[in-house]
Amino acid sequence: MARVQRRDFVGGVLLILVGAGFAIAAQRYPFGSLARFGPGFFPFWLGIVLAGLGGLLAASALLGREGDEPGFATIDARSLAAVIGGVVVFGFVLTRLGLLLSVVILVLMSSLGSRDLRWPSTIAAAALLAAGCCAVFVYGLGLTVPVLPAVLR
Amino acid sequence: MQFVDNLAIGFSAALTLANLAYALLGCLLGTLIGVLPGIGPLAAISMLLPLTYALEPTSALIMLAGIYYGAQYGGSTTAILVNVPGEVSSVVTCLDGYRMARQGRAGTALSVAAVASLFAGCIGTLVLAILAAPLTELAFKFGPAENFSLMVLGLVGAIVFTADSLLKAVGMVVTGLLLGLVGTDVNSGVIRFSFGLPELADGIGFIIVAMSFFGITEILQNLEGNRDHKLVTDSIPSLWPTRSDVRRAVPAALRGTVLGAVLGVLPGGGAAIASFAAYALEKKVSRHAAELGGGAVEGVAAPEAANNAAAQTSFVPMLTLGLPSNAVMALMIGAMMIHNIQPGPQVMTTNPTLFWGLIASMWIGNLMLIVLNLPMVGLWVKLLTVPYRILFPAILVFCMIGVYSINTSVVDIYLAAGFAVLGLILVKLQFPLMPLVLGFVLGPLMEEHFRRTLVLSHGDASVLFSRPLSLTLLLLAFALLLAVLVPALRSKRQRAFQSQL
Repeated sequence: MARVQRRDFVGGVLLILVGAGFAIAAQRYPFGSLARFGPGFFPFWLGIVLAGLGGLLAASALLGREGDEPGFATIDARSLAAVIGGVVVFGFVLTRLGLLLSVVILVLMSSLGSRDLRWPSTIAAAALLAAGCCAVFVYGLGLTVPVLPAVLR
Repeated sequence: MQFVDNLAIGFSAALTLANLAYALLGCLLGTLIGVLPGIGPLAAISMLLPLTYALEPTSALIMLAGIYYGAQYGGSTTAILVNVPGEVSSVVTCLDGYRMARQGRAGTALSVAAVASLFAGCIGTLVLAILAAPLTELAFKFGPAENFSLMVLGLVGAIVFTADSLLKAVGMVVTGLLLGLVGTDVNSGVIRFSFGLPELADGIGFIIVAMSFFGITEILQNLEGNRDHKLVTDSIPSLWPTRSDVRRAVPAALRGTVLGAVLGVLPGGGAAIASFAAYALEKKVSRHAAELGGGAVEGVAAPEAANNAAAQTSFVPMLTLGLPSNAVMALMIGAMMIHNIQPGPQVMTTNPTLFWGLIASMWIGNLMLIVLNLPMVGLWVKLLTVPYRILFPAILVFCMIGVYSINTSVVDIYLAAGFAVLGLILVKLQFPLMPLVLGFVLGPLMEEHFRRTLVLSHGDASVLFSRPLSLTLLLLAFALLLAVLVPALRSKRQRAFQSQL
């Protein structure tokens, strides 16, 4: 396996899985006839095509003569966890704690993903952004979202 | 005199105080966001889109267009001063622009870029205005078969021009088409692939996908790399180019404009290819070709003119045919749909004020851009000193509020998190994201046109090849594919030969 292009092989397998997934799921929907096809027709064939493309990609990766450059699979777990975690938590607290606190939480959490984090300026930015967003989006543009936590309302 | 009448409609729509204000606001905000290192027009538009929800459609589109070229303009400022391209189309500007800045000629580079952009933008808009009516006429002749073939051509164009690996790009298009099908099937009312989530019944919002990919995924990538960029100058001494600079820049800008205007109209074309092509052309034809790469003024004028001309003319297929030729245009289509306007040839007749108003506003916006931005360049320079560790949480906040505001739905925020991770995985596997986004927009449309084609022909798909217009479009698509495949095959064979030696 040393000379295999792992990146493309993994990519190909991913496409096969996605394509097959759609094709299988599409079978739950009416297929119809060619002259009047149903909701299952188009996704089914697209899924087949996608799986086929994935197969080609995986095969060409197996037959390829060049290997990967090293380190393609590295993912910076810290920034990923901070940013995505921040987003998910933001979604969870938004309607519960209100926009003001949620923005602060999102800024602080996602900032953990940066390697040159400095707290004072980050906290200042969080406060500024939270106040600004409430002013612009809620009072200015009329976005329907609570500003303050549920207990204070 | 139809043409003049149309423009009159346009200017009367664009010159209202409110719309002038929105154009101005768009240009300013676009520049503001675009000037930030690593943020291009795509991210700028997706972030600022929510601001336009409350506006009436004409104002919203005028503002978005302003954001678009404002962001593009801001991107070239960053390219020249920090050597960080905001997006692909200003990569080339970095080469000579940054060199010029380091030689103390930052002001010249900035003003040449601005004037070349203004000139090219005006010409590009003129091309758009001239081509709009005849192309719309043509588009009305299109039946479902032609529309389907046109979309095939558009997707092939996008693939051919963007990706290094054709196979991966096609895979992304098909993935995008499939994801676009999630939600209620318009024809049968069946809800597809919703995993039982009622929030998915209306499909996945295009803006969510765009913001996840071009906002969050981008941030994730940036956080992995080292983002140490240095500003070359704190102050811009003089904006005035010397006489010899002007003499050299003018022909280069002209060449760039023509090339950009042509490339922008093509499906899959757009600002990025145009700027690369213009730079390549300068290397071939310029009398100072040897200086290119070392701070030659042509290296700024030509690509900047080209990318702006292309940015304007890429509105042609979008406005007349409803076909997005690149991701920015896909965003524009998404924005139109949010305002309940179905993009396509009928826009010109049903919404003439919107159509011509948008076109007229492009001239106005381009002018505003230069009048406002050149004097304000000092302010933009200050903005460049904001460190990324402060910037990215702010971007994230705007994106998330934007995502939430589409349907005031928290589920969309979780969806965005999911798509951001998907985007990161795809990027790690070196899949291009843009074909996916285009496929996503076109998925339901292609299905519908394909279905109608087959209904009309009683299940005979060969009409796609027997109707002359449709056949022409498919042949064009095929020719495009071939044009890319053949040199690829050739170089592969060459490599094979070399390795045998």
